[in-house]
Amino acid sequence: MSEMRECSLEKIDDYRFRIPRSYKPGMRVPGIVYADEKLLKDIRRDKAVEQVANVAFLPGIVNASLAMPDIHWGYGFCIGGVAATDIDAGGVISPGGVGYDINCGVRLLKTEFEYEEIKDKIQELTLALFSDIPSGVGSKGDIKVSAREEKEILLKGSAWAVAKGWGTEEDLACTEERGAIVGADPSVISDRAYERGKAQSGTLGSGNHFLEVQVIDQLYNAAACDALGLRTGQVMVMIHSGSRGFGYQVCEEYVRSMVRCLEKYGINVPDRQLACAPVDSPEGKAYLAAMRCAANYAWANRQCLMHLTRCVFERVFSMSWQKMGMELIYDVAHNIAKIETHIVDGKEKKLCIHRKGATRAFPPGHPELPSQYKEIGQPVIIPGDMGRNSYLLVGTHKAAETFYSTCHGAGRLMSRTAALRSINVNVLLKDLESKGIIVKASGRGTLVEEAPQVYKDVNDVVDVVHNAGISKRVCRMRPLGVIKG
Amino acid sequence: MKTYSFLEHTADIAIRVKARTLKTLFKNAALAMFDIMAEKKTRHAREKVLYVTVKADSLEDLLARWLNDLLSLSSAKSFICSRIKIESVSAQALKAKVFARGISAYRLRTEIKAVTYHELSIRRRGSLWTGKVVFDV
Repeated sequence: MSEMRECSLEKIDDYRFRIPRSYKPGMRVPGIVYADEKLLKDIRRDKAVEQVANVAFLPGIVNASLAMPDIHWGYGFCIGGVAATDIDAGGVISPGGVGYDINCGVRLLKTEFEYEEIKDKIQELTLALFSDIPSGVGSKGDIKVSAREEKEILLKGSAWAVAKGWGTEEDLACTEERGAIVGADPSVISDRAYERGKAQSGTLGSGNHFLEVQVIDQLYNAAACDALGLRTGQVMVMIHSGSRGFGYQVCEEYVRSMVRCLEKYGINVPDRQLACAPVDSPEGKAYLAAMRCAANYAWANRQCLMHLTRCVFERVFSMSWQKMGMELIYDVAHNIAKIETHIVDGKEKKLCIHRKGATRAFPPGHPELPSQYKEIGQPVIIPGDMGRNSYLLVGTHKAAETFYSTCHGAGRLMSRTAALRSINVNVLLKDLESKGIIVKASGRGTLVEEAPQVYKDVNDVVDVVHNAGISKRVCRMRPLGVIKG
Repeated sequence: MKTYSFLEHTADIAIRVKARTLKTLFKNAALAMFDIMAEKKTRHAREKVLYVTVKADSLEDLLARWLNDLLSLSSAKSFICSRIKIESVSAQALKAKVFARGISAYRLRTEIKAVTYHELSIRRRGSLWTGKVVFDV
């Protein structure tokens, strides 16, 4: 963008670049962007770097305002950002640092099918998934819940669905926070949010949300693959969705109320979308309680979507999902704020970690990991685009420098308007078909807006986080059947 | 004639709205939002009338709140706005009569999650009002 001033990024090493505090008066800490020279060229093209600098204004922020290699221009915070604030030092929480789609996230489940065994069934499977899983703008599902049940969802998350018979105890063990973060308080939720959430449980939504049938095409870490029971040619399923209208409503209400907090608490931020309040203030506590409700709603939603997926596989292959080995590998949130303990300057501190378009990546041995992942580290799921690849990674000890966080996807490169101007939907579908990828979408517009070329190459993004050591590659998948909203 | 234009934004949708009066600016911004969201597919669908009142601390806040209120109402009640009459607007309050049709009369295009405060602006130059809004999609 011509009107933008050139940001002087200082090279720390091959995969990290610093935005010095001198870049903008008011920055409390520097910014650090994880990228290589190639990705940096794209990153510099829009206002993402400026946004990393703006986040460094947040009261109580520690170490640095961090950006992952999939960083791109968002609103307020950049997408692909991590910010940690020290709660005991007046650190703030910002609803904009989580985003409207609270606990947007990804889950990955395996099957025991080999691609060669079922390749003739992919078309039928994709059509069946498309017909049974509610998707598209404002999609509403068959799962209708009463007001009382909705409150239960907000408190129990995935466990609500499991209690209904839509999953197992093992699913909960393989979900971040076991699918329900403690501290959700349904009493702070508005009637409007309840109303928006009621009809959308068990729906995929639209935009970048998707459900994909994939095949593993590359292994990188034999020990981790053995532990996870993964091999080349194995068929997998990835689900990307969030808290739907419920989360949007919660975020909107709290951004609105926190704009007022800026004056009340004398907070100076360069963009009102960074509106925030001290974590320990009444406003901060209320937002955390509401955000946790939305996070739990999203986990319940992905659990329902996985249940529907298992049911479709059972119908298409006339076999139980257990027999098909459809076990959950893991479920991660990539838009969330968490209270975690980390070491800062040699001292243990209670921090509020904002991960907006970033994934938690706990190292081997972390107490919060289920026993089967204690040795290999937390599985991290990185969706790419519908034409190239997606990845499974694991957390590392080195990621202490990012508060155990890594990237969340490929990151957008091209605007939706530019995509609609330059991409022909028929050419796109032909191209995907020639790669053996079957795509079903509710809207043709969504297809164009989500075409592979609008994204960075996820292979480049994952190279950076792997080489920087903040997570390690386990295996790579390529898409076979894609359901888009 | 289009009463709004798209501005470049990598991940989201940014628009500029122009109008000769503040009332028309608020009306055009709302109709632009619904135009991005949906396209009419049937001519004859019953219109419902809603009365919307919004209060805020500033003109920009009022615009964000007006659009967010309509968006959340539309999502909760499953309708799309077809016509709007702004009855009054000041720096702190707005009253409007909103005509809405059920979503079944529309082909839905884009899910707008929210209206953000990022780069939100309202300016007046002479007799021309200009607003900028970034939607999270």
